[in-house]
Amino acid sequence: MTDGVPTWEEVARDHGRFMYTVAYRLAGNDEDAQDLVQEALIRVRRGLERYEPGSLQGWLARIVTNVFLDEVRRRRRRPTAALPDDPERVLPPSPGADEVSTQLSDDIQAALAALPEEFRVPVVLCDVADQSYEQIAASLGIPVGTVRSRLHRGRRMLRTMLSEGAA
Amino acid sequence: MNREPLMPDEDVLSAYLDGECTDAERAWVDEQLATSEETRAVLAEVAEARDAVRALPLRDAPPEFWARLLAADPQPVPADAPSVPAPVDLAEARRRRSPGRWLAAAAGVAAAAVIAAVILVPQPQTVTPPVGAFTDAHAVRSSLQDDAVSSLAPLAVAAGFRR
Amino acid sequence: MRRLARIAVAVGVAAGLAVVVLPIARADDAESVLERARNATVREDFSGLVQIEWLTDGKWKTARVPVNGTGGTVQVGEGTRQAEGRGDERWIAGVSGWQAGWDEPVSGAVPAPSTHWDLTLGKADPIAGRTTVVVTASDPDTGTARLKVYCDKDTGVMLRREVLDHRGHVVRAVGFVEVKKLGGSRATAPADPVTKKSVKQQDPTPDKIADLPAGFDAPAKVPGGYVLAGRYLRDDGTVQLYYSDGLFGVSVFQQRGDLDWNGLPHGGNGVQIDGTSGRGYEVAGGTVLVWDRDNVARTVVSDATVADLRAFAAAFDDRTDHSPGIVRRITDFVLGPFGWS
Repeated sequence: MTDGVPTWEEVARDHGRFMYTVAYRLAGNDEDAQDLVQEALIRVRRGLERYEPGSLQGWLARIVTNVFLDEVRRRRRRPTAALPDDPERVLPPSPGADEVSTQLSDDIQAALAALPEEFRVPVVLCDVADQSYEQIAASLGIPVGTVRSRLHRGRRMLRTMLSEGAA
Repeated sequence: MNREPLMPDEDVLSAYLDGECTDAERAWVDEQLATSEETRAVLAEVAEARDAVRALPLRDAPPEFWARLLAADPQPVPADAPSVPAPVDLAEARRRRSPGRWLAAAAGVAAAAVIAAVILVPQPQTVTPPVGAFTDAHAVRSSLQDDAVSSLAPLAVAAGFRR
Repeated sequence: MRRLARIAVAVGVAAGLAVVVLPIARADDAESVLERARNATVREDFSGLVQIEWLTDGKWKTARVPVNGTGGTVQVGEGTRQAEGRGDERWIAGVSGWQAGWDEPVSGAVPAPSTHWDLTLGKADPIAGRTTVVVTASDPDTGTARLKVYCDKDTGVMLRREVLDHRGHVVRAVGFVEVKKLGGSRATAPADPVTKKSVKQQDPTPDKIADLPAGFDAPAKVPGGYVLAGRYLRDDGTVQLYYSDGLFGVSVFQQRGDLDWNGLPHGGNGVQIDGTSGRGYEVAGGTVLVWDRDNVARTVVSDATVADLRAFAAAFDDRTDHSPGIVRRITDFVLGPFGWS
């Protein structure tokens, strides 16, 4: 690291897992998450020269999010295998006793993936990437108040899905 | 004429949980929580969803992902990439002389080995304390020899730890 | 609602109270008031709202928790964040259901509070409408009050516990903000939550251990007045210790290995523990410090102040004998605005 600016290797080594986690929670599957991280790292390398030391993870989360949203917009223009955004999607059946915690994690992930992007992104940025409302607002180019209301709606939708899936 | 302050929207409850509301909003929420069962119910629901996502573990890429990334066919750096500053060392200079091989070259052989070792091979003997679980275990143990209410109460509060 | 359902294992719970009910002592001295308060919430029925407040990075955080006690069973929280104590059992509910947290009596003796603290008893303003007395515990070397325990005059139930820093400022408090019922006729303890499905339940109580695995420490005493009151081995190999100085409890968790810093929760503050870098957090459940030394990762948790917990951590690590006075004087120096540096 020079003057607080990390090298590309340092970013990949120290924050690769974080970036992948954010990507996975946004994209909902490993294949898309890998593509996201690969593209994000390209942008990271380009952006490192301009990077001003600050919240590195905030910056990385923002890049991953931008890559994700670019991809969402691209897919919308050319609808092929659409990303699931129907909140009524049925969740998988209940697990056996031993699998409770892994299956629960999968269920939460499935519910997250079923959220429309406009709600999923703030939830992931707040509760997975640990960003403040201001950081999320800056990443998405929306007012803080909008972050707050989308986050809240996303959480209420998640809760509804989780409890309905359990019924 | 005094203007009545606007009642905050329900989304203030999320801001309350995230510590992102104003003092006035927090005071309003506290008042609502003390008197309104519906508010308590909604807060509990939102907290459940928030906790559920926060409890999700970090996700590892499949092992071959990083290896593939490092050994990938060279991708040309886009023409509109900004020019790079003067290299600080020879290894850096070597990498930047071949912009076409950005991934494999950027890593460099030695660095690739380091990254591969760190990402692909679990570091021996490192441990991650489950801080939240330990905090709960402390609450449980202290409740056995001290006042149960004050010792156990934190267990009913959303975990203050974020991954 | 299977996923959000309470999953509880039905265990044979001894009927009634599992704690010997002492005759109510005359509250004519501070130590008796504290003793009486220790299990008053098992002895008396109550219900109300408790508030936890703590200072972190100069800002106050609060949380409110409904609480009630019926026939010796103490319940806190509601919905999918709850905990329950019945006798020696402890249960914790989360998103994935109920889990047992403890199920055996503890036998380690804790020191009497007056061993290491100067105690005084006085009147206090009412709390939640109840006539209240207050026990103040002061550092005998400096005279500074470090803990205040407010108790209901009638039943002896602790209504509020305030932790003060070395300047005498409150930095953490837990207490009732509303009391709906306290004392009076007793009801029968509520029935166990019904099992919705069987869950393989490992023995929740960590095993007591006589011998420590190599590389772990468990001094019988830690300078500052702390006495070892429990020593356990958790299922994952973690050694868990419980220390008490009569008023503050400190849990120490030791795991073999170096700390994986990337795996620690976000936030918190960097902290120095006797020359080693660590990380600290202030949360509803207390102050938490994490560091490693000699290939053992250590985590300490307590509702004591950051400065006091740092001193405990340093003393725990240190092989050299300190006289108790030196440790207290270290904590009294201003270490930084919030005690982290």
